[in-house]
Amino acid sequence: MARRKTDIPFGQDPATRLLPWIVAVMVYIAGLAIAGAFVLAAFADRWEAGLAGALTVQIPPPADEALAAASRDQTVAEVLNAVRSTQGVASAEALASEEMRRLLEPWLGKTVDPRDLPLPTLISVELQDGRHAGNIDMADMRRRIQAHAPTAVIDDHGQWQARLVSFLGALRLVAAVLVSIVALAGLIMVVFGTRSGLLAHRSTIELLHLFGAQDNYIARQFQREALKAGLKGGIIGVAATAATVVGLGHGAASAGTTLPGTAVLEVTDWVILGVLPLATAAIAALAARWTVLRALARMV
Amino acid sequence: MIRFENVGMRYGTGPEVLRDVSFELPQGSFHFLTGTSGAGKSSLMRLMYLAHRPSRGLISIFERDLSTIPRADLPALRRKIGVVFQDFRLLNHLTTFENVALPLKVKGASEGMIRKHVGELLAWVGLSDQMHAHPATLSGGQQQRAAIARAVVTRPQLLLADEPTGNVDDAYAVRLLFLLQELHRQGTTVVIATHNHALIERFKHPVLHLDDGILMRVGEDPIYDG
Repeated sequence: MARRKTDIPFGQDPATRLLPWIVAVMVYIAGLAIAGAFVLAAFADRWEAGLAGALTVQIPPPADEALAAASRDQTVAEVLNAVRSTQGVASAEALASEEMRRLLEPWLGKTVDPRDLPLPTLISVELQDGRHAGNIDMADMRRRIQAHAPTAVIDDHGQWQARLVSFLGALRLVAAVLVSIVALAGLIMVVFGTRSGLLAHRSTIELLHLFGAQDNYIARQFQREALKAGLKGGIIGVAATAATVVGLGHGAASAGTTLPGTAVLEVTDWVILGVLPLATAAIAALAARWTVLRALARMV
Repeated sequence: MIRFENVGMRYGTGPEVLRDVSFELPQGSFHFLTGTSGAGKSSLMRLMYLAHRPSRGLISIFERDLSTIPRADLPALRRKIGVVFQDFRLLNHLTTFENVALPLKVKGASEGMIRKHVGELLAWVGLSDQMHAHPATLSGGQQQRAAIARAVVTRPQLLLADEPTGNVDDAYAVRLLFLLQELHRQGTTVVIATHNHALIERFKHPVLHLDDGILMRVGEDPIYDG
């Protein structure tokens, strides 16, 4: 019976009662930032995988417009043969003029024939499974192509990918900084909450000391209270994060986009989010313990 | 048991509330501590129950010199001391049982030992029927008895009581003193700070008298004169 309650009446302290809700807000913000970083990482992987197995060959329009379309078609056919004969290439197709017309229609209208315009011919190249621009002989492919079209350019999307990776890296850094700031703010809240608790319960703490309580005995009670607040706040915060992510996913799905959805977060991502309340509770408990022990060391 | 040598005490940077206090209390003795309000009785008690350090002078308690004792050793000394505070200082969120059990819990006593000792003590002070009551629902006399039970539950070697008869009538004050005498007979050293001269007259124990922070009289028996 005597061990059921804490010796210190934490429930009477407004700062202690508010702490789980403050922690919940902090964990919610941190959880969203972490989930955002996971979503970005998944997008990056997905885009990279989609682009890595493909190349685009651009054959610029001939300088002399008088050149017959037949000559251009022959060059395209020769380049196609050269590309298809390169080791590691699964398929290569020139973008059909119908497809070009469809792509340009929003800007040029229906009456313009792309073949009348000085547009490059685009050849879409699919590489064999598991291949990417880095592990096929690009020099050989370039030599074969340029034998028929000396001004042709091979775009392996590397530059675009590099920019994408750099942009996503910056976003992830922003997420990491946000999580760090929220963690620091949470830590400061726990330290100040504990200090205010020490002040509010000073007479009880003095009484416990007079009964012969070691600092550890008192610190353990604050530590347990912070652990409970961290766990409760963490669970509420992560639950709110999960609800937001799932809600956004359903919203995105109903809008017909492939943007954030639950499927974007992997099982491991959910596990990491699930560990967040435990980490929060552990950090809160350690911060409270450190604060109490430091304060008690200054008492008689 | 307790020895004070030229002890001075001040709160913060304020004036000295105790000046050049010297006395010695042998083990198993029983003393009254008297003096007018503001004479320094509570401050002297605070020094004895190790809630405050002296600003000068030497205090030796249980053969340990307080000026050299490490802070980590204080809890062990404090566990040998029982204190009855003037305002009782019972914790309102705990029941009578839990309040009395607190010093044992701090000491790390087992649940069984706590139940046994606290049950006995509550019966001794006549509060068995109030063990689940919270202090706010107890009368002044009941709170006082709970505070005494809490002070002695660990069988302390030294019992300090600050104005324990301040809130009760004379008849109850006498009963209380018999209770404390019983503890004294079992070997506990007792110091009682009080204004109640009728009690001092009746129980004939040596007296420490404080006047404006200075110890004027030590005992009625020359053996205690410092």
